[in-house]
Amino acid sequence: MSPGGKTFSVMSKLKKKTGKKKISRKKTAGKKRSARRSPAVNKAVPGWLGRIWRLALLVTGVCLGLLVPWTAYLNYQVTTEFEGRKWDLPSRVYARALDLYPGLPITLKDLELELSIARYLRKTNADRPGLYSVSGNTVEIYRRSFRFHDGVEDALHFSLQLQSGKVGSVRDVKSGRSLDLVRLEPAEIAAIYPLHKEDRTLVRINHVPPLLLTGLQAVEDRNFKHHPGVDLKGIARAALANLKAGRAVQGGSTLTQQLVKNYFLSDERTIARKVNEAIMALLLEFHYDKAEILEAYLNEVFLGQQGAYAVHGFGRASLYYFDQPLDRLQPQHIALLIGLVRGASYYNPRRHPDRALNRRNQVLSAFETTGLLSSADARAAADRPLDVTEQPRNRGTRYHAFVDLVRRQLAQVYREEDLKTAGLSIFTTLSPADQEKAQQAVSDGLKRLHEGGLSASLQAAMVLADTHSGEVRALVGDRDANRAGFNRALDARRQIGSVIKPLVYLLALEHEADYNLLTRIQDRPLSLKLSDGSSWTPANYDQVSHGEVTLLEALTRSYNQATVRLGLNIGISHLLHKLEQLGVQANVQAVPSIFLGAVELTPLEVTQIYQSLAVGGYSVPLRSVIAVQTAHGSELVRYPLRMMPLNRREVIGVLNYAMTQVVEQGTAKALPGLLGKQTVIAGKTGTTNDRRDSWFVGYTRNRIAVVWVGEDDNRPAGVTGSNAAMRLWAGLFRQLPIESLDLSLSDGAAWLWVNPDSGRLTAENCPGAVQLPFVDGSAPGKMTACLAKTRKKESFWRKWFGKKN
Amino acid sequence: MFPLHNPAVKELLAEAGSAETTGDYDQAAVLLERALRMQPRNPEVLQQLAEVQLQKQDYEQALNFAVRSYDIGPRVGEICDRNWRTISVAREHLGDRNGSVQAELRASACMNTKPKSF
Repeated sequence: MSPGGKTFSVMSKLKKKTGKKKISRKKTAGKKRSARRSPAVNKAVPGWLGRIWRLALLVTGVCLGLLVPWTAYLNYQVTTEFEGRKWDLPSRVYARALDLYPGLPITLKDLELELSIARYLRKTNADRPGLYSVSGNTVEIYRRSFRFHDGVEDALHFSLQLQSGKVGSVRDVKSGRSLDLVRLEPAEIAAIYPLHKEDRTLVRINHVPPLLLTGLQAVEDRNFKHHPGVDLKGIARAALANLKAGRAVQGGSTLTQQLVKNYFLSDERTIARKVNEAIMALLLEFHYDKAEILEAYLNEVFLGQQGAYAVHGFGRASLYYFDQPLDRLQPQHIALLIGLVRGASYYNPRRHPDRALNRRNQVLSAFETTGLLSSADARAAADRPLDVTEQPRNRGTRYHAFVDLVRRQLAQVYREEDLKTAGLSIFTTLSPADQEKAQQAVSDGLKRLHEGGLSASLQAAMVLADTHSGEVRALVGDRDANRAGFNRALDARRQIGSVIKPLVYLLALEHEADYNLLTRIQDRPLSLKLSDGSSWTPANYDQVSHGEVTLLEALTRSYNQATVRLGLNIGISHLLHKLEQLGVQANVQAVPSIFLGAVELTPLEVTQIYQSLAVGGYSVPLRSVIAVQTAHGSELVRYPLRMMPLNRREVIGVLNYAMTQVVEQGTAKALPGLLGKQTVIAGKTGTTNDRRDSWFVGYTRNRIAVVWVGEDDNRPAGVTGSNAAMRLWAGLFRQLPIESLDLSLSDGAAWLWVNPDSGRLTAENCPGAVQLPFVDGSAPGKMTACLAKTRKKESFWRKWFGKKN
Repeated sequence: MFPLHNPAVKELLAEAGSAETTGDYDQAAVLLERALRMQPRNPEVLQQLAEVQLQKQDYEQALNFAVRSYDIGPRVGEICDRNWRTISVAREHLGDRNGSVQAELRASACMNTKPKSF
């Protein structure tokens, strides 16, 4: 069953039978009625008998007089309601579809995680869609057919080899042909439910197993094909059976009556309701054909209760009880579902397995007596266990924080009401494997911090995105990922501390005539008079002033005094403008403490800022939704990749290098040890006053993640950027395949050999030479003696032997 | 610096190409985006996406993807030439006549300048 396939609307298919037919039927009905009545009118019977007769006529007339408009009213109700009714369908949210191709880095564990979240079962043989098997490093997957936003993918039986953490080859099992690219079915991660708390997955009558259709009739309404909506014979049979048993063992309601009852009427047991039910059943049959009624029944009947949500229809019940789509069920499963029609809570197979088994086997024997199953098959099926999953699949609330982001992103386009009722398919950017890892990293990380002496009430948020596409892969908004509620990733506005500093240095480097990474600045105490008359005296984290330092040192070691001095040269308004340029509206007062991060931002906003830097100076809006489709599978809205190049990208390249040095030798130098890998990573720690907030921003070639740790009530928490948030970040990236950040520069900047001690240009083979990036026009004007010598030599040789140019 | 050829990306590029020939530029863009998820720094894919945006008359995005392709591409030769031609056309449509002419000059320079690092 496919995401799209589950959610088409059956009701829109319901059409009245042709008007012509309707009119002719009505005429005959009218004739019949008058024909029946005429003898009574003409017959004249005198005396008291006659008076009674007349009275009876009067009563009949009054009744008819009432019945006709009443029937007309019911008719109106049945047709308009039934036809106009579209079931409110929850919108379903899907993870991104994983593309499998040779070379994709993925572990067996992650692949199995992806498969299990997409409801694929591991079996010895993957011989049916929805199954997979593992033997050695070969994984065989039988992919179900599914609908994605850009088309339908057919079922596919394929195998793949995993070699040293990568997909080796992918092959079609049947033909042995090698495949370049296979897309996995995306996992359904959530559903957005209508208010009336009904859950259903629509099925179409020609897609359900035939045994369900015949079996349902065999058990509930054997005369369904022939009766006009009410089955007098059935009622008689039921009455007889009940009389024999001395209690109500059979109901005489037809499927049509049951549908009417489910659909329009309350549950009370009164004569009036029974009459209404019968009339409406007759009307329903009059207007619609059997297949339409049966299809509506399949989708309407109540089959269970999951918490506050009523499970309606066989499509959803199949997922609820067996975690399998309807078309995959075996006879004994179908029998159980049919058995539940009689009483879904009484026969609840999870709560009352004995009753359920009994009931199922009764149904199976009805299959047998009606010839739907051979005796042998029926007996074999009766020997099978119930097969009901222990726990119903989590009703969609898997990744609250991420789904919250999805809803907010969609709230710009859709009314909440539409999300809840229109049965939309929402295709998102979530990577289930990454999300699981992020949750793990947060909960493990906080546990370890607690063991290390920090509070057990510490909270955290984490955002993981793809740097190039801005697609959000994972989002954690609470230390307990299963808790829905305050979503810190989106809503915790906290001071960002030193996380702002790279922007100050970026602005400095944009003045290529004044600054490069080796420019010396002063890390000395300073006191500033503020507009309110108070004075502000920023101190360094280690309470030491470091004197003359290079720009690079001041950034990598996060010196406060040097940064404020630099910032004052640049101007507060420029910093605020830069924030805006990078996609963040910060409502802050223009005070100098902004240079040290006295700006309150959410983790998502911080991610947006650094995404632009991580990708080398392109602003790419963070996205959680790729496309939204209607219930019919036609596309509604797509959110394509958009990128906007920022000005001065060459400066961003230089800054990115400086941020790798934060990890290499600065405040984040513990990171490589925590990761156990030597990967080129850019990062920045952030700590706020009194250790209230801990931030870490870090990015590799393909991924960026931002982590915040602190207390909800903003009290001092004993956290620093490197002792808390960075550890959580490492806990995530330890589990991810990561690649070194690309440090190639765009036009307008270049790598030069310099001597950092003297701040002079030098040559590669000179002592103390290192290669640093420089914006054109910012290169040091002076050269080392060693370089001068080398140049002289070169020019000597060029003079005599080189080409003239 | 330049991604090795990946058969999956190749397949998607081919599919995108045929979507383009049938005029289905939306589908072409979707396929190219999918290729970019595998190789986000493939200048060829970025440039092709820029060209699709031209067809869709989204000149701003055409310009942006072409700039990106140039930034991370070889900055010389055939791709460079296509980068600047797309930039030129996009600028023209965006009303930047002067920039368009400049881009045209850059395009012709792509084919006869050696890259910086040589």
